[in-house]
Amino acid sequence: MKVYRVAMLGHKDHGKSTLIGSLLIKTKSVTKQRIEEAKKASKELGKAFEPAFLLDSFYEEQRNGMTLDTTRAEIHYKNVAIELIDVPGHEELIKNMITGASYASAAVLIISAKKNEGIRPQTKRHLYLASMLGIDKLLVAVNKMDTVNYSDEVFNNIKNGIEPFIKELNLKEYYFVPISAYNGENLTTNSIHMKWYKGKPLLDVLLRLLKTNKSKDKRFIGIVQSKIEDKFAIHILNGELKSNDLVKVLPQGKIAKVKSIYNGLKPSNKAKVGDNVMISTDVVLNRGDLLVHKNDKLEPVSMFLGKIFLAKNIDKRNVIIRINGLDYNAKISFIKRIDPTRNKELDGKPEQLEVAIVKVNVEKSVAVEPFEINKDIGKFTIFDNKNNFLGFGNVLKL
Amino acid sequence: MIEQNLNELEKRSIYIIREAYSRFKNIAALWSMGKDSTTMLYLARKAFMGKVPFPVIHIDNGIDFPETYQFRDELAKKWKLNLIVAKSKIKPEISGFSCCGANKTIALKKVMKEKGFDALIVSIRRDEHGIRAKERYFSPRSKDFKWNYKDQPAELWDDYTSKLDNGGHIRVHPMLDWNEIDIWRYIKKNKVPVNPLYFSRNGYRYRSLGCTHCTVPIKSNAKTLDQIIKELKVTNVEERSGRQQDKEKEYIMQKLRAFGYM
Repeated sequence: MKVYRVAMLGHKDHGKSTLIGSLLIKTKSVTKQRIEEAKKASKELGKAFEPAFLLDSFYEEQRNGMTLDTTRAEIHYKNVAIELIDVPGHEELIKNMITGASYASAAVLIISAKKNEGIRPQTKRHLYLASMLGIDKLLVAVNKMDTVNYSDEVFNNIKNGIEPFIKELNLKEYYFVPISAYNGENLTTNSIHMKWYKGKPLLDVLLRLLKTNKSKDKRFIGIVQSKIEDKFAIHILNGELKSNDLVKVLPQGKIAKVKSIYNGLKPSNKAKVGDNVMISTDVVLNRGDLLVHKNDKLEPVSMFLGKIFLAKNIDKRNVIIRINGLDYNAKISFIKRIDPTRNKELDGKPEQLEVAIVKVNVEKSVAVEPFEINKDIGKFTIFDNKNNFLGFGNVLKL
Repeated sequence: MIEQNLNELEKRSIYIIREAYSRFKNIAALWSMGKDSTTMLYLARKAFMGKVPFPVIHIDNGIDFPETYQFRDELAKKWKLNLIVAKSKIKPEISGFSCCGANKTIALKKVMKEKGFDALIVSIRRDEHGIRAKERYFSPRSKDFKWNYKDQPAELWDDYTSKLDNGGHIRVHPMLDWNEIDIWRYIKKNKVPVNPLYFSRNGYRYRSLGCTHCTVPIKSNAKTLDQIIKELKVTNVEERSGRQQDKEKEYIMQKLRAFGYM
């Protein structure tokens, strides 16, 4: 069974972990023993039963009622397996949020309808980050509807408040569902309290979202992981590779002939997307090299425009960027400063938790493409010279 | 229990094992002769054309089951493994937390230091325990084996950290995505050799294997792979319910892992 991966996003305390906990219980995807443990932990800490404890298993998480690090939970619904990725909502834990969300292709954004909660800057920041991480399918769950008497007016205000932002980010496929995660309303069956809502319950909407497929192109891209004796370990990012194919090796620029392919424990004639193979060729390959069809237009560059998210302040222009599995020295120059919570351009130097358009000069040439065209080779991560994570980026233009 | 796509799981694990092998100078794997680490070794063979290219460590406290030792020796020979047996001393009065925490971890520290390993493949799975679900694929440990779970590195897309503390090492977790039932389905599909203790004898079988002191069997009549898979489809009991050290106190797994337990 294929497992769909979904990131759960949103401001702290808007109910991400509680929603996952409730879904685990509703779909019977968790053992009684785990529920008992969560009940016991709730009781020991003098709290009412908290479904979030099914996820937040660190002592510090349960005591303080907040998620510290990303975790995953699998649910089984109508013969589909969905892996829900919980992420911390606190600003200072953004690194853990990015880690969790980067594995997903779709997201559930949770916004609390409770008075004084609603759409927050962090709500929008998570949405902005999701689009930079490559997530293009979205379900907005308007939570805590029980605290506002299940009012359709409150729901519509939130919907109208966030929808223009979603459109600006070019997220094409999105839906809105009103819920109460804590009370389990509108999760797997329609709520009797919200007869004004004409759509399906949350999990059914999510299934529809996940099942729409974009057709993938057949263009071949492989990446070299390592050299083992006289063979090369290749991971196929896209398309197909056959023995006797002629491939262009980038950034070297040489043309190589694939002499043999070994897939698993046996020799093989071809390999397809996702496969990890060993090949022998007439050209020596290096870790991080990309392989494409000999007539492919992909060419290496040493400068490109990028959009980056600053997980930390970037004080020095000299950074390390990791592209296609290799670290390079690079210089970045800021061109624009963007506030991701409003998608507005600002004056001055970009700061931590903001976005910037930058020019990236790399010490050597690298084979990349705009993220919009190719997510596999259009992204990079940024570190300082002590290997501390500073942020990540999308290639915008070559 | 959710059954995942075995091809996808296999591909991701092989990718992670190869990434680890190419990123670290001196890597080894832990092998308990249990189903998870044996499956991991099978995947490593697939990743490298039939031969596991790194040493395999058994932390031996001398009180594993006789079947386990026999299984180890036979498979080590058949798969031509570079096996390192790291002996740990067992004190009869120590069990559970202190046993796994103290005895096994001390033996592991010693062998890691002697051989200078900078990375260690450990076959933990996310569905085993809430704390294990918080792990990264590449997870740094300090010189004294501590897991700084409050400040884990970012791990984006398929790109893993290779940051090493002075004298520390990286735990590599290629089996993190697998569920218990997937392991058994994979074993069946690929005829991976398996320790006989997992199959029912006299109405009991081991579902999770530790040493003779702290592992107890569960009631089960599952005598074949098919029967085990069938049993897991309907079970409502946690896999590690037969493991003493998990139950002693709340948050015990968190403490064990923070101090370097596998």
